Amino acid sequence: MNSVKTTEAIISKSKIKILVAEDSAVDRMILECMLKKDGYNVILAEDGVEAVEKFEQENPDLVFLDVLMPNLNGMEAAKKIRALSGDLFTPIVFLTSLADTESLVTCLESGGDDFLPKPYNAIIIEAKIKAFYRMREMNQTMVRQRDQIELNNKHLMQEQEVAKQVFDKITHAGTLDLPIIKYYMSALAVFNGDVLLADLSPTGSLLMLLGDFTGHGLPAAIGSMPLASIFHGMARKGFSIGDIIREINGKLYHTLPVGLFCCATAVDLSFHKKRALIWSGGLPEGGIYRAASQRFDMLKSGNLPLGVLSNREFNHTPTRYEMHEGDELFLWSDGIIEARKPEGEMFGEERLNALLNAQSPVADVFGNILKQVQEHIGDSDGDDDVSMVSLAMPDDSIAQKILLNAPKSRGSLADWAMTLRLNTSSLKTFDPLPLLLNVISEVPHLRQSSSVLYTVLSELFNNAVEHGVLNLSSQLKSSPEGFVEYYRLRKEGLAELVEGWVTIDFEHQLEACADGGVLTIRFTDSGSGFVKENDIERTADGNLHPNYYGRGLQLIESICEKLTINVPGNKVEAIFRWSTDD
Amino acid sequence: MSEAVNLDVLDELKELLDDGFPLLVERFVADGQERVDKILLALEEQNPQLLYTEAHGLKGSSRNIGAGPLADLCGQLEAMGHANDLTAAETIVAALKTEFSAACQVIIDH
Repeated sequence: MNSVKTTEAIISKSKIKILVAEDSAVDRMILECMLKKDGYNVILAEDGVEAVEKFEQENPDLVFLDVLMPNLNGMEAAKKIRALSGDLFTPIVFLTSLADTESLVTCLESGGDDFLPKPYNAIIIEAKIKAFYRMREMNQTMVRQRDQIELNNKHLMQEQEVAKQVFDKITHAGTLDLPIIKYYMSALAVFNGDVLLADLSPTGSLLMLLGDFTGHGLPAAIGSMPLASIFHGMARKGFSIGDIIREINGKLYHTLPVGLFCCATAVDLSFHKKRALIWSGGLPEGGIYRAASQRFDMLKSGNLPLGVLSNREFNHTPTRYEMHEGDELFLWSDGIIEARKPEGEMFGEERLNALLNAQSPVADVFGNILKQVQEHIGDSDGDDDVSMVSLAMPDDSIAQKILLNAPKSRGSLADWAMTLRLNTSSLKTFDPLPLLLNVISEVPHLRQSSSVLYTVLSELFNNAVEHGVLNLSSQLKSSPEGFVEYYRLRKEGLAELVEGWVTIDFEHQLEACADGGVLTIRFTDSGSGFVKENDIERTADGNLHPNYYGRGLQLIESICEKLTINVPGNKVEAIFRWSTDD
Repeated sequence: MSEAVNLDVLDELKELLDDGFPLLVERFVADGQERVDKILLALEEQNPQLLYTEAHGLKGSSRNIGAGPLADLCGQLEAMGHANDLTAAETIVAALKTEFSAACQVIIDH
């Protein structure tokens, strides 16, 4: 019947190892011959004990067991073989001429998979082997895949563990442990793109940001890395909340794929100005609980989320809110509103508003909301991320203590001075303005004035080069032809310049009382000055009047607090005062 | 005498075992005799468990070698042993002895 066998089938059969355990020599010989004739690899055992030994040694694919054997009967042997086989499915077929139902059932209960009645029938044997071998192969594939899945899962869990540690460090760094902050983030939240950051600014403010990235899982969480590093980096250097938001928006806009963005609310709480600057985009509005009235003022959320608009279209101006002692700001992600019962009903805005409008003492509100939300969710896994934070306006003594930990502007330029001297060859080729602006923008808040300061610096530098080093007369620029001539002379003069220099001095000092600082800019050049002794229009303190030459210096005087031109005009000093007072 | 063993079965076995067939015959006779002796002992000792085991063993081999009547007798003894009732065993055992000899003769002659 098996006369047409492919070579492949023969090879695969010889790989199939079958253990035959049978104490009766006649039956053993007959079965052995049948199996060998069909091409199987046969191993023999004469009793139960030997069967178990051979099984351990040879790890056969299939086992034929006689039921009644000396030493260890077939059923006991089957149990042992099952145990040894473990996860791997090894079919056990009982060889029996037992006829009663009870015995057959006992055979199956002891771990057998089938019977083979005597007298043996070669066709039935072949069919059974094929069927069982298929089952075994299927089982092996399944076990392999299960092990692979288990391994992958373990791997994934390890990776997530590490990733979570990193995320937790990054996103929870800062000063969330301050006594004025209460916060709750569900276990899932961090990994689902919720992020809560707080840091003290050297300006004496507490900065905080609650964000919720679109999507879930790792892709959503990834955006919180650049967000957190920008936030902490800039906050500790004293940048304003608007600057920080703008920087984050730009970064997310350029790095996140379309459709991934971050709903966020950012807060700058100034303890001594008793106000909060709040920028809000996309998150539920949140609100301020007023200690005096026990009423709740909703915030306005007028902006698009971070990462949607380019910085050109982006509005980073925060809204100002008065904050009195005991007032408390509440922010939450939409996970609170969307928190679901096991049956699927959402917590909803109505429940939340009822809690907020209950006029309970401020101190209880956070706990009440959280408790109700958790009771609502119950045992269901919670399909969103529940994040909530409150920030209370402390009294002055607590504020004082908190601010002891504020960074001392170490990370940014505060009080400093620098001198840059450009000698001949540099004057010919180098434009110092980008470098100077770069240095200036390291001073928080001064960066906001960089376009104004650009005007000042470029006028002063041109003045030093053109009227100072090159001794050009601004009279030339009174006619259009003169303009052309002027720039030709400038170009020529620089090209032919043999010796000349310009020294630029910067001095910057913070002024704590005004929340600002003073930048002194001084340009000195190698020229002989552009004023003649008898042509001088002096100011009261004996210096040259800035009206003297053209529009440029006048413009500077309107920008700066003070502009001084020393006689004979090769040294000009501008004082620029800035303040963050809002 | 040909009824004692199915000759078609014997022919098939001869083809299957080829050179091993004489050994198979030898083992059937020797192992069979051993089991028959034990069955006699079981009857003498009135030991149903022993009767059950040995009758079962001989039944399997007999079926495989085509000795149907012998296997049927073994089956009856096996059932008696299983049921712990050896009252009717003596007659069957006597018949079994005769049938075994007959079967052996057919097989050896074949």
